[in-house]
This record gives sequence, C-alpha cells and structure tokens, in this order.
Amino acid sequence: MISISKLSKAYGSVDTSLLIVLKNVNLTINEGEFVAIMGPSGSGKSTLLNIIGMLDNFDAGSYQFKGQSVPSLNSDTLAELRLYNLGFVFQSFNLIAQLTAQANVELPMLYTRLKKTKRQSNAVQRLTELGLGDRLNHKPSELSGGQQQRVAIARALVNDPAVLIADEPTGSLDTETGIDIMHLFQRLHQNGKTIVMVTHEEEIAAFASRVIRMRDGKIVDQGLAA
Amino acid sequence: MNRWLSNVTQALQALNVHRRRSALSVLGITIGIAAVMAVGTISRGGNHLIYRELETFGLNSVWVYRNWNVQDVKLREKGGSGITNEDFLSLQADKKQLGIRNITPDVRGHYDWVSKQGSREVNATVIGVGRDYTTIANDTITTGRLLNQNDINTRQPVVLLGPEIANALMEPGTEPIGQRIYVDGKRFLVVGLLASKSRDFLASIGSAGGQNANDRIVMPYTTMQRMVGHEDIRNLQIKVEDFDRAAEIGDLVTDRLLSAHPVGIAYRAETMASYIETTNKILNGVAIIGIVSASISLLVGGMGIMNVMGTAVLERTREIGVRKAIGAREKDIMTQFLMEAGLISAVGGLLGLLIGTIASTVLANITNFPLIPSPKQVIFALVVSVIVGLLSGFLPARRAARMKPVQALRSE
Repeated sequence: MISISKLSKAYGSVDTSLLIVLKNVNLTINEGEFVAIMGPSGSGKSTLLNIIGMLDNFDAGSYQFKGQSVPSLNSDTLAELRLYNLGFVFQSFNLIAQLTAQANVELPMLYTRLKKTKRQSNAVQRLTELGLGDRLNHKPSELSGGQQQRVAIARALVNDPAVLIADEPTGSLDTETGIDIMHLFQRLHQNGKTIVMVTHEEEIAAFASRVIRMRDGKIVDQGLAA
Repeated sequence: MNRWLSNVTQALQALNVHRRRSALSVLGITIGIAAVMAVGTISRGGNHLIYRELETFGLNSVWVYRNWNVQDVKLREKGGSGITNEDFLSLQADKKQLGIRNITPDVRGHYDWVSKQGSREVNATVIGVGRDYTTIANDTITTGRLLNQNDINTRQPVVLLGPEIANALMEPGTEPIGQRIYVDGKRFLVVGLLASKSRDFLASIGSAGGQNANDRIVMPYTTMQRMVGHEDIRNLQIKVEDFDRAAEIGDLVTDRLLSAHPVGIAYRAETMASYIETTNKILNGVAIIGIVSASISLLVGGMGIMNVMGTAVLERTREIGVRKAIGAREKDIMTQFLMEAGLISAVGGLLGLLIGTIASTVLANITNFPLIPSPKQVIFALVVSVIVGLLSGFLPARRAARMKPVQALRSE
C-alpha cells in the first residue's frame, strides 16, 4: 500500500546550514499492518509520518501510495487522497474548539458530497461506537482528554480511510487512557485497518504488529513488536 | 446546497467566537452602506423635488425672446420686443404643422404697478397672456373660471389671482370671485383663483425660476397691451407636442420670426430641456461627491474586514492545517474564509440598509424633504457590501488556502 524508496529530506540550504532530517529511507507498509515508528527527538520519525500522510513533501526518492506516485500529484489530488484514504490522529487532538463533538466528526464529510442527514447519522454512529453517544453536543472544552482523543479518532475514521495516521496519539493522555486508546487501535487493526503510528513509548509501540526504529534520519531497525 | 448551509453555519460559529471583533467590522460596513443609502436617497429626493417644481413651468415648454445679447450692433438697432400680435396669431394658426401643442403671448406689466382692493394694496407680478397660458404653465384654478377667447378678443378687464395675492388683497373670509380690484388705477373683475404652486426648493438654491408663482395677477394679453400702450409681446411661451423636439421647434419659431422681421433683430429660444440638463448636471455632481465620500466609509469598512480576516487566519492557522489534513482543498479553505468575510459584509449591508431607511424616514418626517430610496439602490448597496467583503477577505483567504498543511499544523 505504501512504498517509500531512497527518500531524503533536508531543511535549509547548502549556502546556510543544511539540516538533513531523512536520509535514503526505504519503507514498505502493507495493507492491514499496524506499524509503530519510534525514535528519539530529531530522529525524523514525525517528518516521515507527515510525508506518509502527504502533509509534507520531500527532496529526493520516491513514494508510491496504492500504486500512485505521490510527488506527481497536485494539491487538489493530494487533498482528495487524504480525504478518502487517510485519517489523522494528533497528539493534541486538534479538534475545532467552536464545534461540537458531532460537528467535528462531520467535518471531513463536509468535503465529500454526502448529504447532511447521512453526515449526521455517520457521525452519530462513529461517536456511539466509541462510547460518546451521550457527548454529541459537547464542545471539546467540555470533554476529558481521552474523550477528545476518541472524538478525533471518530473524525479520522468517519470516511473509512485505508490508513490511520497517528502522531503520538497517547502523548497528551494519562497511561490508563492511553492504553484504552491503544486497545481501540488494536481492535481497528484486527478489523483490517492499516495503522501507522509515531510514538516514543515502548509500552504503546508494543501494540503494533511491527516497530520501526529511527535515528539521525535513518531507519536503524525494524521488526516485530517486543 | 447542504454544503453551503454548513459553510454558512460554520462561518457564523467562527464569527461568534470573536463577537466584539466581528461586530466592529460589521459596524464599518453598516456605516458605509447607510452613508451610500443616505446620499442616494437625498439625491433622488432632491431630483424629485426639482422635477416637481420644474413641472410647474411645464416640462415641454419653450420660451422665445428677442435676443439682445448679440455682438452685431445691427441686430440691436431696431426697438421693441420684435414679437407682434400678428406673429403670435400666425404661429398659432400653424401650430400643428410646427409641432406646437399650445402657445401663448406673455406681456408684462410694470414692476411698480400697485394693485388695490379697498385699503389693501400689493405689488404683484402682472402678466398678460393668451387662452393657453394656464395649460402651458400647468396651472389649475381652485374657484371661478379660466380666461376665455371672448375675454381676449374683447379686451375684457378680468383677472385670475394667485393665492397669495388673493389673501393679500381680500379681507379674510371674502370670496375673491366677483370682487373688483384695481391694477394701476384700472378696475378689474376677479374671475378665477389660481391653485398654489411650490417653487420653494428652486428658490432655496438661488434659481431665478424659484420666483414666487403665487403672487401673479393674470389677465388677457390684449387688455394688458391696452394698459401698457403698445402691442409688443415680451415673449412667447410654447408647449411642444414632443419633448425631444423642443429645441428644434424653438429654432423653427425663431426662423419664422426672422422671416417676418428680417432686419435689425435677433431671437433666442430656451427650452425646459436645457434647464433640466443643467439641473441634472448639478444634482449628479452633488451625488458623485456624496457617493465618493460614502465610498470612503465603505473602503474603511472593507479594510476593517481585511484586518479581522487577516487576524482570523493567523489565529486559526492550526485549524487550517487540520482542515487540510482531513481533506479540505485550497478552494474549500478559500470558500470558508470568504464566506466569513461575505457574511460580515452582508450583515453590515443589511443593517446599513435598515439604518439608512429608518434615518431617511425620520428625516423626511422632520424636514418635509422627500427622501426616496430606490429598490435598485438597495440591491446595489447590498451587492457592493458583499463585493467589498469578498475583496477584503480575498487576500487573507488566499493566504489561508495556500498554507502548507504541515506548517499550519505546527503553528501554536
């Protein structure tokens, strides 16, 4: 599903100071895999995740998503790929403060051609599945961290994307809530969802089926989770 | 449609987060649109008022005079007005052929004549006219009758009185019709009372046409000629069949007069069209100045929106990143911010219209000045306000739309 070859990215320019964040990265992620990317700060794991999520570009190498060469796509096509194929879960939830839980979950469907009634029923269904059926009209500020992350997961899943991209999804949660979220990810994985997650916690990475370790912009190890 | 409604709802929610800021930018547009409305309404009102007063002269009117204002001294050699009863009668006979609907001579009494009734006396404008005079000048009578052909043919000592003259000459409660008055010592019978005419607005802007139309004493021109002791006609007043041919008919009449008096004389014809054109130029000038001033208010309002939207884009950079991450295209983000800018200006525009309309109504009631809003103007004001909003919101919206998702997501 995802095939990355000799991918490199640097910030700055040769004239000033060039900061190489990714060097000749090769990575393949198959459909249905749950992959955790680990590494210390500055190892390039988040940059790699952003490139996989088509939020960032790169300088050299190739990236194929479902057989399509990503660098050749224009911004509208990339947006459409993200809309239907990728779901994002962020460390800080990134819910829109003035919208209710339901409206936040409806948001990705707003960019599709779905009718309002269908958008509403899908959002309610997703939130109910995640145990938030009684929090539909609550705004993010009225929800706990765990509940907010569940809303964010509902939003990420509502268009039934091929891949769930999660950047430190438990980073802002207490351990117990973080484990709950991971159980949720595990259930999604068991149901066939492809998940790519960045984390720096071994305990969280242990939920993945494969762990990729990075250092200084390179993949230094990959294998089954401990 | 659904999507647009959702966009509107979201725009309202976003604006609601910063209510005070949104309200201030709405206010800018409100003031601008109210100002545009006020200028337009006052301008239309003034236009209406002037037309209403010009109508008291007869819009299809042409005046033909002897032209003394010529360089060639030979054309000033001959005395008199250069217009005789024969000229008038000849033109009257050919009026259909010339495109004339009505024609009247105008013979003026001396300015120092005193008109009396009992112990009451006034200085009135005394005019000798033909039977068509009242038709041409859009005069009506409130009581009595108009002048008839017999009055003219037999030089009858009868008069029509303007309402102010009637009030000045008659004892309160006296019916003017049938009363006898003295004009320059000669006795006349009052046969009709002219209805009141307003030329207050023309007078207020210093127009010569604004002279009081209610202090006239009107008598047969033949009677007047006997009083002044000559058969000269001061000028001819004509009502043409076709307003657009007024100037041409004026020329035809002066040509006829020149062929009757080929030596030592010149004529000029003035049309109401030329007065209207001048009036329109003045009114348009005033309206343009007003609209330019009002547009500056709108411009300031637009800059307010630009500022608010610029701040909103900065504050909501992360939200833009999230929206892009979950699949929003550049045009979706653009639409969202333009929708917010458009809403600010549309609400401002509607409020401006409301305030403008209320202010116009109140002013109209206080001042008796006719203030006339136009539906076209209302639509124009709304369209302008939305365009101002969209133009002002365009740059911030484009900045938002072109943000790279990863950079937007990193912002704090």
